[in-house]
Amino acid sequence: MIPGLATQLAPPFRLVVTHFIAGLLLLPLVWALLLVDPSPLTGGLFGNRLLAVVHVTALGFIAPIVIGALYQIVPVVLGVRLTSVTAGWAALALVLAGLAGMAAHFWMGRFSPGLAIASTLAATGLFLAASNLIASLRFVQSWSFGGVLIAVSLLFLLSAAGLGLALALNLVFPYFSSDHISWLKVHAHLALVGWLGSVVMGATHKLIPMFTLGPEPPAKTSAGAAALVFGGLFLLFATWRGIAPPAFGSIGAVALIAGAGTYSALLVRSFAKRARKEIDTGLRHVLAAGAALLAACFLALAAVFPDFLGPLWVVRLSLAYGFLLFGTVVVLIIGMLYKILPFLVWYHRYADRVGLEPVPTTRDIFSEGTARLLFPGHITGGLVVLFGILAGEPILLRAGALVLLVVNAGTARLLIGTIARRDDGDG
Amino acid sequence: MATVDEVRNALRQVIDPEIGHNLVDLGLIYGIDVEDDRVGVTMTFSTPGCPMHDVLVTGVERVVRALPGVSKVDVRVVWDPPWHPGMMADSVRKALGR
Repeated sequence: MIPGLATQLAPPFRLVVTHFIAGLLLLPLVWALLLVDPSPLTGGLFGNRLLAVVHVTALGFIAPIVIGALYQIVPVVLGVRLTSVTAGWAALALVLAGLAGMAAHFWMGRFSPGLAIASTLAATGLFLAASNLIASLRFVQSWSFGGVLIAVSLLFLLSAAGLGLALALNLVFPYFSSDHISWLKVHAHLALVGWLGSVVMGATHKLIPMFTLGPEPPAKTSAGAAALVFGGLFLLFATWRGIAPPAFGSIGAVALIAGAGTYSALLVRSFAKRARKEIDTGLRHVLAAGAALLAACFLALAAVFPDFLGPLWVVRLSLAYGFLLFGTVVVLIIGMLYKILPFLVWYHRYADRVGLEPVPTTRDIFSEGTARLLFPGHITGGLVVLFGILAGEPILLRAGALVLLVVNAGTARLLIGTIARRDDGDG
Repeated sequence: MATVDEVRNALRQVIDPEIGHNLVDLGLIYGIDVEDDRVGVTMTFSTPGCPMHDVLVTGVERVVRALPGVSKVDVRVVWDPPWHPGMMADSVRKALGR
């Protein structure tokens, strides 16, 4: 292999892509579950089957891919070695084993000791993954905005996993039942806004300018935007837990949205100044994720005024809000995978041949045409599910889930096919 | 002894795999010095912390060392002046849609 910073410090290719493959194979399961029973998206906010669907998405798709990406990004971009590759493998196994038990128990509505064991396995896996990365970050010599946000994201991941475990144990051995729902809202937002929001801000700050050849957003303004997001989030937590009066919740929601909006505006400005004017399918997904985030922010503002909505619309808009937040992350991840994964495969297969013989480019090893064909399916399926949630209509939910099942299976086939690609030089 | 033009032409063999254009036309090669059998290449990247850093530097060393009469190659990566899209060749700018 070529001697050099990235090659020396990057973890084994197999560790990173196994995380990606696990996530890609589990995303279609989300839509298969909703095809079997769409009631999680028409019923109450925290039904057991909704918990099953949400955790398959979060622990089955999002967590493996984001953690796998961090295993690659932290060493290569921040210049530190992953503390333990073995711990990386163990964490993935624990999360997936725990998820299998959690999803089955949630889906069947069985809050038995088996759920406690499964949740403990999953939380242990997340603790192990986060600790492994945090231990690596100790050796970072030069902190960038992206690096700080990744560190913050890991603290949020630890918090979300810890609270999630406490909540799961509370379902099996109730010990704070009166507060369960407010803690559940805190848990969901620690994961979706705290953990994933930090990862998204930290990663896009570097990756979007890199892929588009645009200027990096200014670090100080980006940090201000992130502070607004986190400050708003903690005001919301304080309100939900009854520590602060309700008005603080409204201030928190506005601060959070202002922070997300400011950061999005910085990215849009960088995007507008990009040298690469072509918008490929990966970047189209990023733009679609931005639109979903905008819609989620709009619904979050609506939720600040529940008295005007009535209980039915509070439930439907909250479900739509959650779907859009998840949709933002899922679509963004797929878009980033279209950009990152071909590069990783290229690096693994061809980096040591550069300068010795002609090598393919990333475009030669990834079918942009197939990705372009799948993109409208992601958008159409997502919109049909969204309208299904707002209309409370199971037929629409099933139709949207079917479309997303097909296109997500296609995405998995495309990307796993890229990983498994062989050429004459592979022997 | 290789000429500066020969070195520049050799560097056109090193392609940024993500952008699909060679380092010379991308404007990443800032300078080439030839002195007897020693060649110095001063270059940059489009972004600090570029994950292609080591691969492309090694690629530059290899294609230059393969030239007849070259026995030592010194690649220096600099960040000043910072790269900007205006440094790209017209053909690349057009291909990227500018």
